[in-house]
Amino acid sequence: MFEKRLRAFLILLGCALVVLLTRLGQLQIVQGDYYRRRAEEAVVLAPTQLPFVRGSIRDRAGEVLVSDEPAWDLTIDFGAIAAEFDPTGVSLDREARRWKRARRYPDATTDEEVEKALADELRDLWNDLERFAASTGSLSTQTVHGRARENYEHVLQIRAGVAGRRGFDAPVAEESDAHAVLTELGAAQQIAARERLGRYPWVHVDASSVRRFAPNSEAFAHVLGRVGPVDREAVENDPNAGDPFAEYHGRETLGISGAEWAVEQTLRGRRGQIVRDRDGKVIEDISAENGRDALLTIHAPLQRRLYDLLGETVGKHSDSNGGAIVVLDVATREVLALVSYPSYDPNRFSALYPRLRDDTDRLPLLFRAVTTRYSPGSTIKPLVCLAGLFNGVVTTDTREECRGYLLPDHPDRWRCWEIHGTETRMAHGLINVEQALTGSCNVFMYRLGEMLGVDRLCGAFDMVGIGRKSGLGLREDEEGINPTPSWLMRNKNLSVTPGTARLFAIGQGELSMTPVQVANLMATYANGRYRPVTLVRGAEPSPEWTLPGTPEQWSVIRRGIYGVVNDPEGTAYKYAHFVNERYALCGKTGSATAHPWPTAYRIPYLDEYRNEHVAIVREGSKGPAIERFRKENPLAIFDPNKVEVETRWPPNPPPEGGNHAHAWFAGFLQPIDAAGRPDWSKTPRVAFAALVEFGGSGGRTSGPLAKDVSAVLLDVLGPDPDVPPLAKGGLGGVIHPATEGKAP
Amino acid sequence: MRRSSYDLTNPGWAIAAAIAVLTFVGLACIYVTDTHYAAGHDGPANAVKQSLRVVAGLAVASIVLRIGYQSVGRYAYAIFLAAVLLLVPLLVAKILHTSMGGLTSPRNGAYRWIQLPGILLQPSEFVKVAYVVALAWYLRFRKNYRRFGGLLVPLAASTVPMALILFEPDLGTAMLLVPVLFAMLFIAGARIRHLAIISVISVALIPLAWGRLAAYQRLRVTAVLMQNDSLRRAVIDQPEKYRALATKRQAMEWAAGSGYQLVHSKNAIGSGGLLGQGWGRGIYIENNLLPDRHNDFVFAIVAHQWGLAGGAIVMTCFAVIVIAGVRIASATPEPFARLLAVGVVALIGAQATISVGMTVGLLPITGMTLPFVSYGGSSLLFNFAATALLISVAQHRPYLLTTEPFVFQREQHERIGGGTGDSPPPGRIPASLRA
Repeated sequence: MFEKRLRAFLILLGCALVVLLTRLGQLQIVQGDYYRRRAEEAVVLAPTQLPFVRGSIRDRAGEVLVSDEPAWDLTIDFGAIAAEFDPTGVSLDREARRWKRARRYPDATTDEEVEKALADELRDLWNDLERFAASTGSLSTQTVHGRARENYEHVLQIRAGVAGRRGFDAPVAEESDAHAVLTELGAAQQIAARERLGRYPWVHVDASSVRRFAPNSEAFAHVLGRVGPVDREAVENDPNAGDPFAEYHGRETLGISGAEWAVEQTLRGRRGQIVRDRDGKVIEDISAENGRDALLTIHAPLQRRLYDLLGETVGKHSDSNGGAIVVLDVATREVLALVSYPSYDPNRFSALYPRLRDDTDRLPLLFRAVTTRYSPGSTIKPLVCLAGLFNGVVTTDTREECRGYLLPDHPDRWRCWEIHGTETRMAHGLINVEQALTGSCNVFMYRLGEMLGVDRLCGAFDMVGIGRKSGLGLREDEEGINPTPSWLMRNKNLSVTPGTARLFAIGQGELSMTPVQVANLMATYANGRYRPVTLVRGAEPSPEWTLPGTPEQWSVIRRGIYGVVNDPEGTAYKYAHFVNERYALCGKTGSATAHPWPTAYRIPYLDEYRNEHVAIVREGSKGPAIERFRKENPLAIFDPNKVEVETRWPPNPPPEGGNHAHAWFAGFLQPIDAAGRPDWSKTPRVAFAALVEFGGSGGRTSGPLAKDVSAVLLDVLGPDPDVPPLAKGGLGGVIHPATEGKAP
Repeated sequence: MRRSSYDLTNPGWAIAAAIAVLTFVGLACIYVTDTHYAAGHDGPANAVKQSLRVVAGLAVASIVLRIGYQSVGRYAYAIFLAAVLLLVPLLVAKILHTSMGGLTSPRNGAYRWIQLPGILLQPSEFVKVAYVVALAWYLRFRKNYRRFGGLLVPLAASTVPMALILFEPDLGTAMLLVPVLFAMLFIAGARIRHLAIISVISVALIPLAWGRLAAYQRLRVTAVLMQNDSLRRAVIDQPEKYRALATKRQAMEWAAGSGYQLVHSKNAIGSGGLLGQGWGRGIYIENNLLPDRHNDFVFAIVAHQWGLAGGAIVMTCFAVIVIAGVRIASATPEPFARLLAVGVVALIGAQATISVGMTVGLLPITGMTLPFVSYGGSSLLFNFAATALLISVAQHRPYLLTTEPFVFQREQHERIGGGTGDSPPPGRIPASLRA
């Protein structure tokens, strides 16, 4: 039995032997040729990936706003970089051996001499590189050496990451690559580079590209956005991960803000690849696919004119530091202009960045039109009146009395607006809805707000997209705040009081909107329908819904809006009245109560020698200020509780006392008939919103601006503001039809 | 009484010859794949280091031969205890996540080596051999393993070294103890149905163990499965259906990720063809594309340089060791010696099978070296010790035998002096059978 078992054991191992031999035979004889080929291919030279050209971004007429331009990069073989930064000296050895085999230093006989000659040559290389970099006048604050060191550490990290994924350490492709140390070289510079550095075998000049904006693109800087280097987050969330020609590579750029971010996948193309075998023969040649161009709905000439206009207006008011103008096509809600002031020259962004960041007075990097929330002020009143009408709380004939204050027992609270130049408050007397709008009566609105209640008010706000994304598709897009009771409780721990609805009804309180949302609100007033805005052509058309309200109710609202500007009793008549043969400006002014913002903090501290100092840190809020101070002064000792605001904007109190205010004007151009009266059968074609930060209350600032905007609109878009169709090659000429009645 | 050391019919010579061939082949491979200068290490070349170890191994082998397997057996439990105790510092280091001042030498989170001055010792190699010796000593006179209950003690005792090794973590070596245990129990005469029951239970527990394995260990198993192109495609196309097997990402990246080593191993082997590329020649010699080509995957290098012929020769050498070992086991009537011989054969045979199977893509990659061929000190030394024990058994053939050990059926009892081969003439009673 023992023998039998031994035999069984032997047979078992024998079977294993047979299986393994068979497998060997299968691999080596049957499939031998296949594996021989695979082994050959394993030693092909690392494939050279061919870059693609990133698509350009154009305006609605096809004018190019930003595009890739050819540029050149100066690259250094990784072997030289490693030889410089590897602390163990192993990489230097490897390079020495490589060049000894290539007999680069014929005078050197021993290994030590070769190493010394190599070290000398490498030192010359780095010095020449720095000299060349200085001669190009590059705006970068980093030296070539520093950039190479960053690159070395980056490659080591990549190697560690790959090793972690595979489970063992092996060289990575980046170690046989050349890496860029100087980028965006011009044509003349790249020729100079070849001449001066060509004798070093580690230096190459590679064709590349740089993102170039059209000249004078300050008006477009925010809308277009920027590209930046691919970072870890982009790689982790890459939608093309796994596709070797489309996924992000560590040396590429991607859109990080604005339209560049929003249409990133359109602008990206696919890389190509050339693979050679050991003899240099091309095995594989895949050409790169360039990215596609993206069309925005922006009207470039209009954007430029409005940007200049806004700049002039802001300049005229010493308290104002910026503003925004948004122009929409009413029927399709395409964004014709998205202006944010102040802005910067995007072609010089990297050089300007430190100054831009520290300019906390003007905040030029802030995309006001889309990101900043302001209280809508009186621009919300038409919506509130509409809500009152279609909820049945008031009728078109309902009258209320305004004595200048709401509560008889407290005439100093809940008052109507102050008549400019006096201490008295406006008292409208007995008025109906239309008159309340035209006169912008606060007291009427307080009563209306009370009757509606916060819930119905917030319901109306939701109907026009407050608290939702505007539809631009931009990363910077803010939703605004729709202050429902649950929101108030959750975020501010406030419960609803009678005063809450009153404040919302006049557009103050926690309610806040972005300029885009206000423009869309005005467009909604114009045609009675709401839909989110569109910035990019080809984006899915968003659904549209009609707001409730009978035609009579709507006409009351529209007449009220018309009256604000065109009726002598209207609040904006004095400042914003604008009529030509075809159109009359209609709209609503608004003032959003505003409080000065911190622009710098003072931090008293002790340095490491215990001397007292005071630092002024230019940041907009306390936390970032302290963080920045800590980073720049790691040894300083300070008490965070003693950090105070040093300066604010606006620096001076308002000229007439009271509070600062942002100035709104939102309006549309209403077609008028031959007699100069509004032709309500025709829908306006364009609507806009303009905001001047800290422009003051009333229509004094925004009214004239609105007039100027109307003039520009009619000038740029033609006497009949016919929005030109989008450039060919897209959804076809999308010309909005007049929604009611016929064109003149 | 000892047989003449120079009796050439002694299977020990065949074993020695096989080992010589294997060691020589190993040195040749290590020499040509030596890239340590490129990697920047100081000191002597790998081949030099390995030759020194071979010399040390021969010294160890002669010492063991001199001592004789019986003397080793007398201290079997003490040796086993010492080996297991050497695993304890690794356990402590792993738990405390420290290298204990350089005593242990962790690599990639695996605590498998103890750093002594000038020597890197891998205790699990010691444990493997000590385990075989101790188990053989334990089983030599018992009969209770014929009952199911009697199997439980060896099983339970085996879990201690297995668990300690598994914790290092070293899944491969821990799993190696299983076939060795089964082989020795089987040869000793445990009932087949009992062993079958244990096997079935273990197989049933695999799904449970699957979940407890670390992700990278699971990945090793699925990596082998995914060398099949159609399976990979299926995982990519229907990731939901194959979720338990691998993720879509793992399948897409297989060639550059978990399957990288296997791809290159198969390339190397396959490109060897019938007669190979020649010593020192071949793409996988000139380029360092196959990781661990000097230790775990040395067989791929052998097949790459010398083709099917070379691979067959190496496997034949192992076959020689196995067959000779089995002959030795059957020729000796002494129970401890039989078990010891079978255990050593199982150890070397299993290790060789797993190592080769891993390089050709039939088994998951578990870091098992090829005995005598791979680069590695502890492995070489303890394999020399194990085969020295085997040869020592071959040398000491007692002349007297009363009953055939491990024979439990009536018919066999009737054959006096039993066994195959020569029946020794009656004479002296060997020392191990005396009190």
